[in-house]
Amino acid sequence: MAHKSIVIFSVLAVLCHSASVKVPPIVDSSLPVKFSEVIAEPAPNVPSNLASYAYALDIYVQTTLSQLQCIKQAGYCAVFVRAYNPAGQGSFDTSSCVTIQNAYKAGLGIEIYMTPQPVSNKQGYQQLDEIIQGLTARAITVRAIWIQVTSPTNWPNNANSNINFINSIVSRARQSGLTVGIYTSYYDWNQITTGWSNIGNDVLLWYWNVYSGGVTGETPANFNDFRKFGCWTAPSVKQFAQDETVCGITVNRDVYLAGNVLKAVEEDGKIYAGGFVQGSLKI
Amino acid sequence: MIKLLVSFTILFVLSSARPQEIDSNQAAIANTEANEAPVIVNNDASMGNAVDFSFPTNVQVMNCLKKAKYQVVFLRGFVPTGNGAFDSNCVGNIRNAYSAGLGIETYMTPQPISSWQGYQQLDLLYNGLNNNGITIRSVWIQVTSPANWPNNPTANVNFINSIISRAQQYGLSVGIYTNQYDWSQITGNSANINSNVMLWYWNVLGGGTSGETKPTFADFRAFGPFKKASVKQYAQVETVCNLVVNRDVYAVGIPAAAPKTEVNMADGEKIVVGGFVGN
Repeated sequence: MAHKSIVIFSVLAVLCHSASVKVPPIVDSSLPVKFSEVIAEPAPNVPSNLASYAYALDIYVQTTLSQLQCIKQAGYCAVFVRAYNPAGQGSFDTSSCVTIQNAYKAGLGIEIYMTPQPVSNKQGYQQLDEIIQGLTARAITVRAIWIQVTSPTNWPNNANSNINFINSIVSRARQSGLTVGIYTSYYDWNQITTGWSNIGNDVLLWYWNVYSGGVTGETPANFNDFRKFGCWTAPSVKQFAQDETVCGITVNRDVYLAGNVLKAVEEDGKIYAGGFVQGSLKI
Repeated sequence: MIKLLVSFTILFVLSSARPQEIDSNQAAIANTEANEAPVIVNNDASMGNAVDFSFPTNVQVMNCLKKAKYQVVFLRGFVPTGNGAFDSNCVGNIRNAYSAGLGIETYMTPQPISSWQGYQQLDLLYNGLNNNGITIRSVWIQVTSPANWPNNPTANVNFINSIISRAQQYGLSVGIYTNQYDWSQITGNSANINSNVMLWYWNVLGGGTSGETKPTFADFRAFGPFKKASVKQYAQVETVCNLVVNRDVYAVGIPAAAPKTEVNMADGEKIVVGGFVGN
């Protein structure tokens, strides 16, 4: 008899846990942001009762303190901020400093990613150096870096050269004592590196999968659609939604395992970039 | 012996172009060992089952595919090697598929970096088939693997339209084999292609049976000019009848009739293919 009620209770608990709060998208006509192909709709709310995944956003526009406070209020635990702009020869994204400082004040975890420029006269390690120097000069301590390896059309059709380029960044990150992760998908990785599997098992994975941009193109906010590729047997982060609005800015949405999330604000008053996603801080 | 045949097949397939094309010079490909596809359980009368492949095979395999409940085969008629060329393997494949009573569709993997323009490549395919007694009614153009296309969406759209126009001049139905990400990368998500073009889209989580998605169109989202899909490739690099294939489902419209029983090819008999999968 007790058995039956435990089963029923468990089933109900699972059902409650898996029911996400779906809010119909509301078009906010005060929004100035308009993308050429996708008009970003407001994202669904972060579920209030999730046990295992934490939510994050990845952004590349300069973001204000009140926007980031709003983001924190909305249930996001961390932001992934772009620190390198691939335009031209590639350059350190100075606006990331402002976003990082504001995210720190808002009490959000901070990770940084770079969109490198593989056809630059600057080598991979030089591009990473620019980021580290740029952030350090603003009293931001870098502990981890995520390297964007997506959009095959922006990469040379030469897997060996691409592997060397990525390796240059990864090696420099290791030398600098940073944890390093790659932001990619199995198809991107196949196209750009033909499935390179020797990058080193200290390198983390942030993978993406959407059916399309926008709210209707989201995939479930979990790692269930992950399949092993390259050297990765498990991911750390998944981008499951692209081109939506949260708190008035256009973002992509991510989940990561909430297990070992460090508290966002370190006691020492220093601003850290990286170390907030499980595995991205070397103990 | 079978294992040897399967390994050889895998190596051969990996070294030749196929949907999900990989540069044949790279040996270190993500280790997708083709495992055996699950048996088809047909509980959806609105969807037909198909496989697509380019490897040359025999009539026994085609008969086996038909017995395994695949109704249609998508066969490659054009390879992107060099400047691009008619894929002569398709002649035997088409004849064998016809004998086995399978529906037949033809796809081409064009070469966007070629001295041949799009329409010239279509001509090579069309004439190659005609010269072998095969009349096509439809053609599917592969637009995948952004790494193999120039980083020039406008040029790519012009190239694709050149093929479509020529095919439509010949009175063929035209479809594109692609997906949202490929289309976005290669054409900049263009909607400026000739109208009335069907869509064969693909979505897998990885190669092999563990990478399959559902054999339904539930994950389709409109993109570019495509408001609906006719075919979906939901599994890649699996073995069926000891042949390495990709697996597809298609919406059953009013298909042209495939021969009901096995056909003995008479000399000079003309085969008509295409039109089995349509709007």
